[in-house]
Amino acid sequence: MKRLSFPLICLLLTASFCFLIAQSIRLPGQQETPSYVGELAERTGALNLVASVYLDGRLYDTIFELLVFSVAVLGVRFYLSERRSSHRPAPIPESHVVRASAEALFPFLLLLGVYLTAYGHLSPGGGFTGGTVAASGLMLCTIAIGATAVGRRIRQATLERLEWGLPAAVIVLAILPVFLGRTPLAALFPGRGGGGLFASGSILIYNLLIGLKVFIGAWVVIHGFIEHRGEI
Amino acid sequence: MVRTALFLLLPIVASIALTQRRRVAALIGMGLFSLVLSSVYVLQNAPDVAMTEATIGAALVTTIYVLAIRRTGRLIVVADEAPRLLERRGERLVGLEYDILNGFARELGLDLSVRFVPPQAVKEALLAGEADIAAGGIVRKSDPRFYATRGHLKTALVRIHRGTGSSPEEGYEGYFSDLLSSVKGGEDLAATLDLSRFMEVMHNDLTDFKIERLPEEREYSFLVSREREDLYVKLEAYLNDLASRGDLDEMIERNLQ
Repeated sequence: MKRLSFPLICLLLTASFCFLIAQSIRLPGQQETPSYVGELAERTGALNLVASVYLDGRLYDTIFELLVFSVAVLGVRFYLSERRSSHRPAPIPESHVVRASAEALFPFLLLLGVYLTAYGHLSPGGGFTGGTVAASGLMLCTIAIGATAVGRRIRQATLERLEWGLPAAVIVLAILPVFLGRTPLAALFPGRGGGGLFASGSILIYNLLIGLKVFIGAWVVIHGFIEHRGEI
Repeated sequence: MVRTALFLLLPIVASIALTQRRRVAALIGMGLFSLVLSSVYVLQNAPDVAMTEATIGAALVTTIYVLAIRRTGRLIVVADEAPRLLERRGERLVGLEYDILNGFARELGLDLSVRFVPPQAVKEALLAGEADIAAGGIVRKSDPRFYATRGHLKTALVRIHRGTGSSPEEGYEGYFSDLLSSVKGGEDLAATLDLSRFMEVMHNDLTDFKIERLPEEREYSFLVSREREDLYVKLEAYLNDLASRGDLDEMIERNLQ
């Protein structure tokens, strides 16, 4: 009983804290959207207000978020390259059910990832979410058929070039408006509204670049682990 | 109402995940926590955050952890089958050493995985780093390449001999099941057996065998590679703990009676 009392007290305290938060948070309800967000949405033509904020109004923050992700991937690669393992344990065989379902699920997950990325300005989603969904599909495949088999289907050298090319493209895209006499980080292709796939100009391009970057970054990390620590 | 219920569910799921001993169970608890949190975000009118939480927290992170614990989440034991110590009975594994190692694996939060190989391959597998512990009626003997744990059961060595050829210093050729069929088949053979295996052989007709019991008292123990000192220390402490609590005697009685 004495051993249990401490976790129980912690649990009770946390539960009451969560209960208080649940009671104190009120949904926005009838509150009006702040005017600057409304203006932003109108200017970009994005139906998803969040996308219009982080890929237009606060693009500066997003670029650094992307750089943080790139540095994290670089860090994993750098530190793993020092720990090259000569001993390679045999892969763990996976059951047929897992293999078959992973192979069947992968195209759908990839499609969902592409959809979430491409329609990020119209519905919830975006590059970060879409890229992660697609990367989860790839990892499911890695569990099922082994990383070496997945690696054979992917051109590693192209991926590594793309991995740094994509954030560079985002930065170039953000700076280019300066040469057209506009402020930096302004949209290169302004949105025209109307709620179509191409309704919000640059946001679609940013979403696609970020989605691809997240997808490649996740693969590079997992491939790095396998390359240096043995097959999974 | 639903929102409050989900908020209350969060610390409960988190505590369940934290208190799991098995890593896979803790991992599933963690994924579940992310799903509940993602539902909370949806109810808070933040579908974008909810999606990110669900894909990263519940899917991606869980997958990466699954990949990681597939290697590290199991205690791999390499063994030659030994009757009443570590043997297959139908689909299950039973025996004294199985009980000890299973308890040890559970204490470390790992899943026990036993690989049966011929006796000659046991030490090689341990040296190659393919297994964490060697077991299966190993008679304690000083060997600079391994740590041998304290003896968990007393035994003795018996030489049996039929036909030409001399008994080897230790063990026999091939799997123990092959040895048993040679005994039954009346083929010439020579082997040095520990008591567990000798008692199994004794079920057969041994009238034309020359049997000699070696005088020294021996003990069964587990082997751990010299590179895994941490594991050896933990296993030794676990065995000492079992012996001092009297659980070891109870296990011996249960398996050997």
